[in-house]
Amino acid sequence: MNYRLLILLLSVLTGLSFLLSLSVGPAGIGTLDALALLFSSEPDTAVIIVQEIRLPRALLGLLIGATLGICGAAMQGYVRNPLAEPGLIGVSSAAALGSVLTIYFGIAGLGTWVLPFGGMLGAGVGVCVMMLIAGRESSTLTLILAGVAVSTMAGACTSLALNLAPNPFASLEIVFWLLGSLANRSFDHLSLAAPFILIGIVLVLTLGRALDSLTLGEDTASTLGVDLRSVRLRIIFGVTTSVGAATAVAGAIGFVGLVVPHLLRPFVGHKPSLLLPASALGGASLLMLSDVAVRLISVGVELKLGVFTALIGTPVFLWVVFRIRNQYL
Amino acid sequence: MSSLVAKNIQVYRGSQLVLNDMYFSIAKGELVGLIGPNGAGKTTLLRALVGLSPLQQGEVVFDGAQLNRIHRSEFAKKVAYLEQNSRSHWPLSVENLVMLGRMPFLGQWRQPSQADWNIVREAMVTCDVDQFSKRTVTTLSGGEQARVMLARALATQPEILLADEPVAGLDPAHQLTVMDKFRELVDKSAAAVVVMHDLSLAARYCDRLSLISGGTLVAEGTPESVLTAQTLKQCYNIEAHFGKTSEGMFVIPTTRAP
Repeated sequence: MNYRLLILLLSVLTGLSFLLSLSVGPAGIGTLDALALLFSSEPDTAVIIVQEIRLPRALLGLLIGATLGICGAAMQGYVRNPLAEPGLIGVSSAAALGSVLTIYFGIAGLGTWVLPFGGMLGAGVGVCVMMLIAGRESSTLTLILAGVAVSTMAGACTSLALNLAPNPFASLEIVFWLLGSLANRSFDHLSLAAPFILIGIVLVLTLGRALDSLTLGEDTASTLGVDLRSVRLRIIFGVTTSVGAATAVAGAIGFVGLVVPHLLRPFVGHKPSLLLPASALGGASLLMLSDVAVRLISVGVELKLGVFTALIGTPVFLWVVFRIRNQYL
Repeated sequence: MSSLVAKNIQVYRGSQLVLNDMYFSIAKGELVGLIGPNGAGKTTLLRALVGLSPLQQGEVVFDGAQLNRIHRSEFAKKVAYLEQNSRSHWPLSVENLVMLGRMPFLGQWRQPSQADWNIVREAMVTCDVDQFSKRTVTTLSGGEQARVMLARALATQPEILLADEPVAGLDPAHQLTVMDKFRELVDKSAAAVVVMHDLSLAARYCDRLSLISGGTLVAEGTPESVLTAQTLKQCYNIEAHFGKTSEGMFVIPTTRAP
């Protein structure tokens, strides 16, 4: 497929998903009404619902989906492995631990910014530890191993926090938060996370050509003029700032970063540079549509977004595995 | 005039000394064959020449400037390196893979121009891979993939091309095609270093041979002066028949030396 046409189609899909995200909810405000209320300044409940509840939720879905998609594509391109995902360098687990600790110590309620700030702090500390373990001249393999070490460590500490939780309510709060959701997120969350997410996305976008060269391995890429150290730093900081901020406000949302690049890769001729923008749009659409789905599916309690993406992601992922198995045989 | 010189370099891999006090030079108009037994240090020497292997001692000098003082992207425009068993990690189309050879000129954002595509097509024709330009590279045979990788290196239009066993795995016809291309490239005012194990092919095509063994230079000069019964016995532990035709000398290994 022509790349421009693909980007156009994905942009239209992203736009429609955004409109749908603004239009769906228990208040029964339709698309046209929601659009009109978006620009209204009247002190009305419907205006508050659209402007204060649905709009930040849709914008967060857009940004977080985009960052998960693009960072998944970048990580897969960087390690040249179709099974890589944005959390490979330990950032998601570390961010989750940071947020969980604010709940554990009972400080999450001090302000809406405390929990996401804890998450971003966790992501920052986690990546520093990862880089200390990997060393300055780390190869891709040592980077992955160091990331796995940080993920395991952060996962163990999160389990410990659950194990030692001061009361059942704190445990429940931690578990629910870990499942990942965009419900009840406000402009406070958006304004805290958006700058980091955008900086991360821009950093990752500068990696396209380098990722193309890495198709031939690190040595050849280096002789093609790619500064591998700069690439490593840009991908680490890009993924840490954006995925760290995304996890800090929405919890751990899996599979988007893994599945979206896979679905789109054949349409861009497997070129890592072309996959980055496509995966950002694809990730944004998938996350916003999933968020619409969890609002529509009624199972008595709120279905968490991370649970839903995992449920729909697993069969898609299995299909991808079987396709790759046949391709590489 | 383009020249690349390794001046008395010493390279370790881990605690193992791989190259010791090695001097090697290549200049415009030369096709140099790098020969030697497995583990002699041939690949390490090529890697050191392009800055991939850190030096313990000595220096690599390109056009009179120390390699570590030259910007990598500028060096990449003039010197191409073809890795041994190079392969593509993603199933790119052949033409997109060959276009990676233009990467040093495209930089971060510039899109390939018509001129870039013309160069890529020329490289594909040269390596006889233009007939599957739209196919994904992973669906090709090993020999075909090796020719695609060579086309990628040629697409840079380098002043110096360093190729590690570029004819390994190729059928005899394509071995000759590839070596003809190296000759043509060198005659068009470039230079090439080719690591080879086929001594007859090396003798026939190369202006100069460098025989290395155990990380040191054993012999250097014309094929006739390097490929002698004594050097082959010393380095490869073999005895061989030597002959000469109008195409040049040939060497047929016969027995392992006692």
